Amino acid sequence: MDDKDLLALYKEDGKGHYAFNLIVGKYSERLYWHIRKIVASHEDANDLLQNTFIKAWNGLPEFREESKLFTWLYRIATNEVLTFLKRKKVRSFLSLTDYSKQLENILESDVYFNGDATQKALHKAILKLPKKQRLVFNMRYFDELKYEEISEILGTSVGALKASYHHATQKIRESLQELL
Amino acid sequence: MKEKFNIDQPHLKENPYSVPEGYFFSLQSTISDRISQKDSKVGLWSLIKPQLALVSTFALVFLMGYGAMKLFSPSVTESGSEMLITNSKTLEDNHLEASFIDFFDDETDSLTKKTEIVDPEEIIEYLNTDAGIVYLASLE
Repeated sequence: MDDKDLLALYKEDGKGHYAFNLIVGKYSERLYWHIRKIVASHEDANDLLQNTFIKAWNGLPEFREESKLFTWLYRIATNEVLTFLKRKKVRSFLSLTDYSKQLENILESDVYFNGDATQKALHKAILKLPKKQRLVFNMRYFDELKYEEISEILGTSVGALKASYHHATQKIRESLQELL
Repeated sequence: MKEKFNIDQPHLKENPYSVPEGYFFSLQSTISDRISQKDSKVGLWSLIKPQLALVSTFALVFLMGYGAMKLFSPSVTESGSEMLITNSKTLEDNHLEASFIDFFDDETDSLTKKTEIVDPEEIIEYLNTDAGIVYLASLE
């Protein structure tokens, strides 16, 4: 079912929950991987994904379809991730720990990470990037979104996104060069 | 010259993460349950909210009235002897009023009224409410 039909179904009397379940079924995996690649941990990704959908449910009555449904959901998920990372950063600062190191450790000990050494090195390098650069890199590199789509999600100009992606790629290459 | 690391290898774009078995299958029902719980809580709250508002308003008005009464009540600021005079005067007024009422009230006619047995606790309570009587009794 396409997004237009899903939203029309949602607006029908008594069909709201059913339509929303279909939306969850359609987009949960894509959103989950988007979140997971930023936060590394499955538990954190699960919490953030659920929060994303709860916020989507609450916001759906006011959704004006000015953007695509998926772009809107992606934006909610991204904001959840950014808020989460901000909180983690503050908590780490107060407890005098390094959050990026924590992320590396998660990757090392995570039973739900099945990559080889090169993949592990790549993802460690990504986790070291500043959070917005991390988002841009993942959305372009893994999700293969167009810059215009990323621009709509993050509210950043295409030019700035291209520059951000270029810097991220350079940093990752240098990091992998050292590690491997 | 060292070769630049090629990050565009297809192998690197593969997803190395995994999830617990059945995670996505159960996710829909988990989210659906959370939404249902949230909706029922919101329903209950919207039911209670207007009642709470009404009760709060009445409580506020009552407190304001009580506060005003306390503020303007004369017996609160008087000294001991003044309080005694005030209370004696009040007693006298009450006695007059009571006699007037008794005149018309058959129930309290001393010729026909049987002697009532009064609970000692009621006496204590009565004495506690008016310290002036106790003071007068102590003078005798």
